[in-house]
Amino acid sequence: MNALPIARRELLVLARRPWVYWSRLGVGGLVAGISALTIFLAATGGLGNPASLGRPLFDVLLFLAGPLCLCAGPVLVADSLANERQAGTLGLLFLANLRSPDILAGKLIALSLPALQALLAIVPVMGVAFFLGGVTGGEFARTMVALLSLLGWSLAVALVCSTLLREGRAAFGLSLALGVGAMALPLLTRGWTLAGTLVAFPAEFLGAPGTALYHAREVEKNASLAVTWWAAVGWTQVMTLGCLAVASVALAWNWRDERRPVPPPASRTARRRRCSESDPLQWLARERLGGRAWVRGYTLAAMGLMCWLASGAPGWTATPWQVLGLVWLAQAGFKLTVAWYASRALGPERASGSLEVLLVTPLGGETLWRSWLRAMRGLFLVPAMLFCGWNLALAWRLVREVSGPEETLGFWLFALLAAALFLLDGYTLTWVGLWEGLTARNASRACARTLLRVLVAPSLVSLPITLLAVWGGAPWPDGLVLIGSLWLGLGFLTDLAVGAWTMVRVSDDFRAAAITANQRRSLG
Amino acid sequence: MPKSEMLRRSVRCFWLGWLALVPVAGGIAALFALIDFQAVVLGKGEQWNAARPYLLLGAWLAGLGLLITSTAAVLALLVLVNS
Repeated sequence: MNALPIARRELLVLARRPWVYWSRLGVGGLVAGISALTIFLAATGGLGNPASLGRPLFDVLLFLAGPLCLCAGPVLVADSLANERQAGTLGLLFLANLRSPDILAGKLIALSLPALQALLAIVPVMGVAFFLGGVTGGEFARTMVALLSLLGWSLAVALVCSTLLREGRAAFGLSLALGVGAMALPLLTRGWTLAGTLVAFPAEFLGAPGTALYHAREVEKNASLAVTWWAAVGWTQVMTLGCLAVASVALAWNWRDERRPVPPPASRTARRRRCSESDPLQWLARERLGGRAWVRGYTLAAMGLMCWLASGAPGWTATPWQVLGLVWLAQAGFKLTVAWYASRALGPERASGSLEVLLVTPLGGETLWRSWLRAMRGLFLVPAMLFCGWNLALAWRLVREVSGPEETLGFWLFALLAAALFLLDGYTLTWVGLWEGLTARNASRACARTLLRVLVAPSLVSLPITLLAVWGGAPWPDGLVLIGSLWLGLGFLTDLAVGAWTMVRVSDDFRAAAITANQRRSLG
Repeated sequence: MPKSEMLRRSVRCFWLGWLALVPVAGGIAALFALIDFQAVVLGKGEQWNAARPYLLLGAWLAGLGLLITSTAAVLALLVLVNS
């Protein structure tokens, strides 16, 4: 196998990226901060005696390590092959007497390094949690095996998506969706009796990565689950090897960047609509965005699902708070869609050089970004308002099942504030996605940075604090109030800080950022 | 938007932001500050805004003021319900 030259080249490219070094510092700092906070709580008596430190510390670090392993593939690997294909360098690699397994192995070895480094920062501290008590050696070992399996699976899935799909951001989205689905499937099917049904094996196979992680702990309580855990690990390895095999075969057939010719609009109505558009830039942005059917379909499907669950799905009776939680999940999916579309802004124009041409014209930078914002508004405003209104109507329907005036008020307040935060998040994601689409190297990175700044950062701060406070002795209802309040408050502050800063940057520095991005592109 | 108006509204946003920190009563000041912020960002065109730090700080203070006002309103409602 001749993978080492590819690995060497990829490592040299990574070595020139500042984020590789900053991520090491960031993960190490985060782990140190969480450990220090836990020790502080133990020293001040919030967590009882030091012997009870181990479990909360282990769980919080697992909460960090799990998503890190899950997102490693989409973030690091998903756009690697697709970008090379679009740049036309993939064919040159085949001319250099390399085979597809060599190329894939080289990319995998190099691009998995940042994720392994981050895991290396977290795992020893999880080992310390084992020594503190509350975590057995078996659970620690099973969790490590599950995390490494999940990491390998995530990288393999992202690699096969990058091989099969033409665009890097499509590969990013599909691999992320598959990862989230694999983790969510065991939770969604928990308590359902699937044995003997047609969906039993597919559910077990596709949800194996999530099952391995969740059952790593439960084997301690129920030894009969050991078989389930081993089966889940085994299926995960099978899926990983299968993805790598498919990628090896597919790459040899799919290395060219062939674009299908777009047929001209056949109907007179479509031609008239094009000619009658008063703002050609807005028309261009709208055509580039596309996705109207997807956004409308998602909104209607989410509304229908929430109604069905609220009215009592077969075999599952939801409490009003559980339905609110589902509403939050559906809103999160909508926000991901907004970030996804917004981060497509201007990237292809910048890559093709047409952005430079547009900036030279009398149109100016302001016309460009305002047209994009109008196009985003046309795509998302009505579905967002519909979504929000439907959620409030659902809350009005469910509040009758809540007992007590205090809980009723809390339910209504949470529903209203969550609706307001949903609209504010959407607005902020649009602006931040526009700026990141202009300045990031590629659209996948733009989308990841947009989500990190607006949605992930408040959660990273609020959830560990809340979890530690709850384990420190706060009773669960108060813990739920603390989670909700922290999430709302931090989300609002983040939207305001990041959104205002980005709006000012877009309006002041658009031209300079576009020129800088173009210079960076031409220098390679 | 003329440059003089852009500068005037940016500085006004800054002072309204400080006023927005007053609980409850500052809510209206916060709204006006954010209206000024939005107007300057969308209407300034290609000209350079010398009062950009004032504009940004005014928006952040207005947001913080809205958060303080909302928290005070929620706490007042809870006290009312409990009593």
